Amino acid sequence: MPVVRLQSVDGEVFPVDVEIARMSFAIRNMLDDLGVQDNDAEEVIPLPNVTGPILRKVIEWCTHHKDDPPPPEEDDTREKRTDDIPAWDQEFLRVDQAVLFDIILAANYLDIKGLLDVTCKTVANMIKGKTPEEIRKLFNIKNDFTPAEEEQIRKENEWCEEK
Amino acid sequence: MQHRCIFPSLLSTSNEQPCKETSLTVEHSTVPKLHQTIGKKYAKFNLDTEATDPVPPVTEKPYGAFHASKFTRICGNKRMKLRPRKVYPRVVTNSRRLPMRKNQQYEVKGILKRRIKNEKYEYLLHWKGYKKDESTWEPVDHLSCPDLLDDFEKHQVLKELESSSGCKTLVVESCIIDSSNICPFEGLPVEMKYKIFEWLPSVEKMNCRLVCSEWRSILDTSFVSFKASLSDANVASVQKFAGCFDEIRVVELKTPRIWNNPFNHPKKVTFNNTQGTTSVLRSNMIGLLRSSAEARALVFKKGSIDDSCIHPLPALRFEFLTHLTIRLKDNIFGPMNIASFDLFASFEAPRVVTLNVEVDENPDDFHHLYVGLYSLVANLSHSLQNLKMFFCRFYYFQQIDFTRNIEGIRLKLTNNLQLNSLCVVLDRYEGQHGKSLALDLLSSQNNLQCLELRVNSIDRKVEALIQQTIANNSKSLRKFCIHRCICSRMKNQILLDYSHTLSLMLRDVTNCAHLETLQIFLFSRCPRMESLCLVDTTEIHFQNPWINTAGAFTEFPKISTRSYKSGHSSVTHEKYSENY
Repeated sequence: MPVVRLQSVDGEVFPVDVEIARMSFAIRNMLDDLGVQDNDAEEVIPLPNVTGPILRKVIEWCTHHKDDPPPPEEDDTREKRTDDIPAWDQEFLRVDQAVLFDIILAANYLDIKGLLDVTCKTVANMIKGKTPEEIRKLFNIKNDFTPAEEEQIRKENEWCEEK
Repeated sequence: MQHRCIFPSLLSTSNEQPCKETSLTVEHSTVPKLHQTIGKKYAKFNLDTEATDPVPPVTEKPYGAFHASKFTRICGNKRMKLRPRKVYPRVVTNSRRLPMRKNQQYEVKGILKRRIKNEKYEYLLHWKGYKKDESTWEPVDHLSCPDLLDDFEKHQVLKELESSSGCKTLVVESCIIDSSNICPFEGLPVEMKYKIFEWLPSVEKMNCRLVCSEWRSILDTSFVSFKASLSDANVASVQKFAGCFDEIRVVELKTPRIWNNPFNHPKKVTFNNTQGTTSVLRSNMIGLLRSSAEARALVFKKGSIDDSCIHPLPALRFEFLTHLTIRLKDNIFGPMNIASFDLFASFEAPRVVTLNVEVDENPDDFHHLYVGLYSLVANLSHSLQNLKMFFCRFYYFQQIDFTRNIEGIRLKLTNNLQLNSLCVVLDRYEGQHGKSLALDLLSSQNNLQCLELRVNSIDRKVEALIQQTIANNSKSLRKFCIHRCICSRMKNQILLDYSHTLSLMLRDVTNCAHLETLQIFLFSRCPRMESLCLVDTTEIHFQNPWINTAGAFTEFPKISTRSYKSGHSSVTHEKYSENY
């Protein structure tokens, strides 16, 4: 299996199977644009936005999911579900918030749709079912509304009682 | 959130040494890494020599206790043993001078700096209740505030990265980390936040608007959309709502409303089985349609078109509408209700590419069903010049007499040269007359690219139908699928995937006797056929009849076999080659 070498911003180099690296559309485009040959083992792809520990996580995820079928086409009518995260991914994403958000950023930068979706779903699940106060506590957000503003928003929200 | 730490560096102050010069080293490296144990925020510093003194009980479980004699103090080159009894610094707090108590825990307010001393990290700690200039350097082993430490380290790493000089500067400018300001979510770019909010249902999104003003402004942009179910109770507030809608579902509107405010570009509007008096229903429907003129999809569910709608809609133009779905109730086709389709008489939707008509109850009067369908297509036809996909779904076909009205359908669909995909579902399809509808729908197309049939059974006549359809569309047809068919003697489905690579796939064919004609036809119509794939086929006889009609082939197709089941496929392409 041909290998590409990915270099994180802190200088760590990860040899990765081409097939796994190509799960990232950013890397895929880079490889295609550069015309990197399969056996060009000396070629190092620098990833200036990803740190070593995060890149390690991303590669771990890609390795586990390398045989997944391609994600279905974007379909607006599809109901957004967040309860379908595979158990392995749930375990994999049981990390600090900071790490989780770093993985989101890395998945976005590297353009790995599956990983981006599953991480965003994870954050959405963290938000789900919580009161605004609990959400603020969860993300350490300050409530900058005056009571009057808050009341106003509550009024605006009234139409969406339950579904 | 409280972080506490032992306060050993105050040792130094008792020696009249500036605290910055002091460091403590641990001789044995057996000290557990405190910051790895999240949740245990307390550590205890046990001054062993004073053990006889009464010690106030510590409620928290002591953790990471280590012996003071293990520490050596370093002053210049001189190493000296630490004298625990000297550990009584005086610290100003609340304008009272208090001696340091042993076993005392002190709360860390923040980590200010980091440095390396004796190959170990030390942190300048700002103590809660003390001034900043009373901060002290503590070795990492003394810290038991993993959260603060993690935050600091993370920030530190970022700072170092930002400088991007790659240098290993480990003492950085003062970066005061107050744990109350750390919010990793804030650090995400806004488009990532959209992506996260997208996964939330409307109720949760509404809830998130209450979190803070930034979240609200994100959620009120057009990148985030909501779903609303309209009822009498909430319609007023929905109209006032600042956010955008991707779907509006009309559930129950019994009272007439004034529809002055257009909705914020709903992408999809669904009319459910609306209940109400007829004129109210009608006025509400028109009002709602008017205020959602930018909709991408309109769905009229069963019963949403009613007697009340027998007059045409006022001229409504849906510039962006691409998907129109009409689900019809059986009685909509009653003799009186054919005019219901006048509803769409002045309905303009030039970009509609998918028209989906479903009749899924048993109509009382099949004749009127057909007339109604014709009427619908006729009324819509002037705005369907872009139609790409027409999906019809009918049940209970056997009693319909289509012969009288075939011309109508044919006329309308043949005029539409854009139509390139047609799916007909003929569930419970039996009898002869139903076929003639299908035949006409299908055979009238002349640039069909995708044809999909779902029928329960196909006999000789339907085979002829399929052949004719393929003949009429042979130049354009790229994909051809037949589901759940061929004849009653075949238990499983056969799938003919007649793709643009000109390959044919046969799946689960157990007895091909009834299939030969079709195959012969297909092959003779596609002289460029390059491959034939047989999947899970146990018995198939291609022999003489096939060969006889294959005269048009310039080159014989490759035949490959795959078996996902038992693996025994008796197709012999060698036999072919020989005969050929």
